[in-house]
Amino acid sequence: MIQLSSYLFLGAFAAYVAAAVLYVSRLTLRRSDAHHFARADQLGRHGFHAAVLGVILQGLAIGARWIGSGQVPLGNMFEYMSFMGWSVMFFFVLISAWYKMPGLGAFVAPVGIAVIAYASVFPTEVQPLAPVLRSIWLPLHVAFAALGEGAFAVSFGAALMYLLRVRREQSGRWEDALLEFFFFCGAVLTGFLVLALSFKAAGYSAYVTSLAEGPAVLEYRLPPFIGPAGSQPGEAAFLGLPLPLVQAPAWMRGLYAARNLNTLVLSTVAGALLYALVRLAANMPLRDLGTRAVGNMSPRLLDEVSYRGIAVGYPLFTLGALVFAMIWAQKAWGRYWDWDPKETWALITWLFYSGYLHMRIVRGWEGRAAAWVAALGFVIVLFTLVGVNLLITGRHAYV
Amino acid sequence: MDEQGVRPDKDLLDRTWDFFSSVRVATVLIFLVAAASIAGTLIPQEGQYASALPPEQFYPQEYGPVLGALLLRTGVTHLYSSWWYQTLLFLIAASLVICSLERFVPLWRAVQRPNPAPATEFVRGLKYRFTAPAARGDSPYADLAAALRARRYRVIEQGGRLYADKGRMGRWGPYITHIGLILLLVGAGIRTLPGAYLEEYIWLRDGEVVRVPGTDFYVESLGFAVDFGADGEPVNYQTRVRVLDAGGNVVKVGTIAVNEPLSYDRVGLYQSSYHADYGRAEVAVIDRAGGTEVGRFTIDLMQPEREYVAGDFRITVEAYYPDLAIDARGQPTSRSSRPANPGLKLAVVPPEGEPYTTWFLPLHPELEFDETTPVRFSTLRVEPVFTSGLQVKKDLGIPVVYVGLFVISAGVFAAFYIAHRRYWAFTEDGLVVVGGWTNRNPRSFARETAALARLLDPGRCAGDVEMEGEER
Amino acid sequence: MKRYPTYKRITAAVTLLLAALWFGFLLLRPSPRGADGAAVGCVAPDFELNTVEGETYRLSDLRGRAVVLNFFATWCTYCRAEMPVLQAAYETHRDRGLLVLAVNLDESDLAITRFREQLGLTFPILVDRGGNVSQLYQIVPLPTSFFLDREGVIRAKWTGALDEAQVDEALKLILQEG
Repeated sequence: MIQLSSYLFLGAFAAYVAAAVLYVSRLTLRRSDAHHFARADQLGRHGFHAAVLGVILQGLAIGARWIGSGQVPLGNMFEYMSFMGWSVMFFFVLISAWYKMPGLGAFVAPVGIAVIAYASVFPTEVQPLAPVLRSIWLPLHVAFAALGEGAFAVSFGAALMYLLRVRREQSGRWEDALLEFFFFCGAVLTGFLVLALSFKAAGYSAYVTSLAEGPAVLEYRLPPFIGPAGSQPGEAAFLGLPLPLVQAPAWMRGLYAARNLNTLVLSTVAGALLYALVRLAANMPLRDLGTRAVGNMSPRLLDEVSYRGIAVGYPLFTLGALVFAMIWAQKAWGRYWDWDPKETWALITWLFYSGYLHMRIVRGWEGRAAAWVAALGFVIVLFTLVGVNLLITGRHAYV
Repeated sequence: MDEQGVRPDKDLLDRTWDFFSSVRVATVLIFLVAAASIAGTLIPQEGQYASALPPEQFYPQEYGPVLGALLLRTGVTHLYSSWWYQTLLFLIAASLVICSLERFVPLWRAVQRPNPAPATEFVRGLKYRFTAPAARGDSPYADLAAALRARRYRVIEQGGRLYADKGRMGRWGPYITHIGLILLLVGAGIRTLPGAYLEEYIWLRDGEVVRVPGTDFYVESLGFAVDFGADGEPVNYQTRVRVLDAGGNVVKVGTIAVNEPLSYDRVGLYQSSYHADYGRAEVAVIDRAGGTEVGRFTIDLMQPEREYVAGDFRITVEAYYPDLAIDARGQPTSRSSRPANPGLKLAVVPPEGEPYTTWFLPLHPELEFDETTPVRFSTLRVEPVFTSGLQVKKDLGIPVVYVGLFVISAGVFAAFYIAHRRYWAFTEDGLVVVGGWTNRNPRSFARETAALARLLDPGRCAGDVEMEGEER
Repeated sequence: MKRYPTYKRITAAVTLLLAALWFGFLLLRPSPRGADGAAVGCVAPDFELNTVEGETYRLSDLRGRAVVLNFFATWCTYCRAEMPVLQAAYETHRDRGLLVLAVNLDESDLAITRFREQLGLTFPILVDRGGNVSQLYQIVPLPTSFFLDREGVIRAKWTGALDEAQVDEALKLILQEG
């Protein structure tokens, strides 16, 4: 059953990739020549079908894993992030159908794929739930939060499209730079995912001595260009190079600081390469490419879709990430809140989106400013899920 | 003075009201709280860092003397209880109340006491409108009213006009949410009242009675149990307990398990963790020459006796080091009180021969310091001894917090999933002119309006109803 | 333009008043990190512990006597080193109401009894099963000693081995009558 779940999952992933490719092709075709509109629309329809297929397949995969493992599949990073990816695609299918906006696919489907790819970086074996996770509150808290975040992802895509659409050439130099930076960060994230998954598929691992917090052996899943204090070149190798080449600076404390820095640097290099390639191929900054992609889409509609994503997701997120989380914390730990970093970041995310909702009724803030906040909001969601786990520890560090 | 032309200056009270009723100010406050909260997650807070040092030493050590002192002075080290963060929360609370009051009264009038007969230009100017033939019979609106009631609208016919609406609750959503938030803040604030909050931790072994700190009752452990899964990790663990009052009478019996606390007198006891130590060890005394067992004794590594008898051997414990280590001077010592690596210095009196002294490490019986002794020891079995870790919590504000959370949930659902939809209609030349308005989800409303229009005038095509622009 | 209606003005006034009270409270309140563990100048947190022989001692019952609370373990060499000093102080000032209470960090009865025999200690040795009292007092290094006066207020806290001069200094603070 678990094996079946893995196959279904791979099938879903393939379907999502197909959807993304079809949607991007659709946009490319539309922009190139008006004669191809009909063909482009057909591609868009196929893309939608692929997305729907993916949602169904992954839904079945989740169900199979649930049955096979006997526990709700939301207990570790892999299960949670893949459910969130499903949520992104689910709300994408819902919202793009409701608004008849296939153009959304070119921007949101890649986000869903990225989330699922990120999930796959983590160990995918079924792990028995720790005692404190064996509670009805786990699926309630986690599922509602993930659903809310999926809707926020759709809103993120639409907000980005809105910003690209209403970009004025003359003004907003900071805005343009920030948009370009967004794309660069996307490239870095893609670089990370490609590296992590490639090395994981190849089964790469390297062991390096560390004296960072007492003598220990640190395991690397990427080639250790940057090693911890106490490591010597030659302990590992990659493409004939003796590694590590350098040690992490002394002011970086913590056992995993060097490994995280290594991942960050390698991802940035890979991302920069990817960015450079795309930019050269397109022969223009990526933001201009994005503006061409959104073409003449109705800004009002994009704005409405962006708002709708948040309007749909906000109650789900409030319920899941705050209300259920607080009730569960009270039941399990005896206190509903004590400023644990993960909890606090959930609050920060919630406050951020609350701020967005209030911006919509302030004159002057309801357009571009709000769209920026919607775009940044999802970045904060990602940080809550990813950054906090990796960089800051606390009671929540289950994986 | 309210005479025309004479405008009194706004005084402090008015300006205060303006400040707190401004959504712009509220938005800024929301983002300020979010930004301030971030800092507290990047700098480990007091009580959250894993070091035994007090804050005055920890922060200068981690961040250097200058930054460390700065963090301490500004209160960033206990950010969420710092005066400026609490002030932000106070401002938000004031804003919540005053913003809601400011908008509540006009909203009440608009929603609960609507005007069913506004000027016809108003109806004509609405975004969603259509015309339909007037119904025959008493009322020209009969068909329209029936269709609307079927869609659960509340219909009012008055003075030759029609007004219908549904989903009023959607307008109240934000205000319900605000009330919920205020309740939440109040519930959290109750914690600060004396006697309303308690947070402690106790470690308890089987059979022990410990007074619950901050209270006048005791908890006695009747037995700790842990279930291990197939991989050796704990699946669930729990402690069966008795609660005793100050006089020693049993007032409650129950089980505390993970996710299942026990409460007594508003205090909650939560199964938080446990640790396992080595308890009773069964040791065999083996004749070195023949390899046969010549005696056996059981020693409790938590509470060893002074003397043991094994077969014909008398064994006296001269020294016991629960966590054996060698100190800087080469002397045996113990690293802690818990039997992590027990070491015994034993004086052995054999039935024949000279008494002698030897060392025995129950967990590593193969490590011998003197292999010329007539007998050696072998550990057959060691039982674990568990100490249960219970968290003690009391918070009188919790009921208020729960109510607040419920109200918030209801509020956000009402605000975002219930749309307030309204129709006004007037008659003109045998036709009924209908105009519609909604506060959210325009597409869905457009579809409903179109469906209504088609129902009332089947012959028409989609033309007369304004729809959202398609992507082109 | 009319003045704002009364209810708005009253609410605004109440808000300003609450803000003033709030600031007053913030400025005047004691540090929120006040009573963690046992600080000098505070009343020592109450507890009840037994000796190996089963005698019960409750700290709050000892008002009227000057108490030295010494947290130790038998495997701690500095604790061992300072015991004779404490024993001597106990014998000298016992009839003036001094009580030395040694609190052992959760060791076996055997270890404690041996310790007492080897060093000839006559003051009560309490056993902190589970380490709850040590946690209450936030004991980290051993030995840690608290000097409590006759009202149960902590007058001095000392970590590390004590010598005679230091003990005499501290005793002066707590042995005063009344």
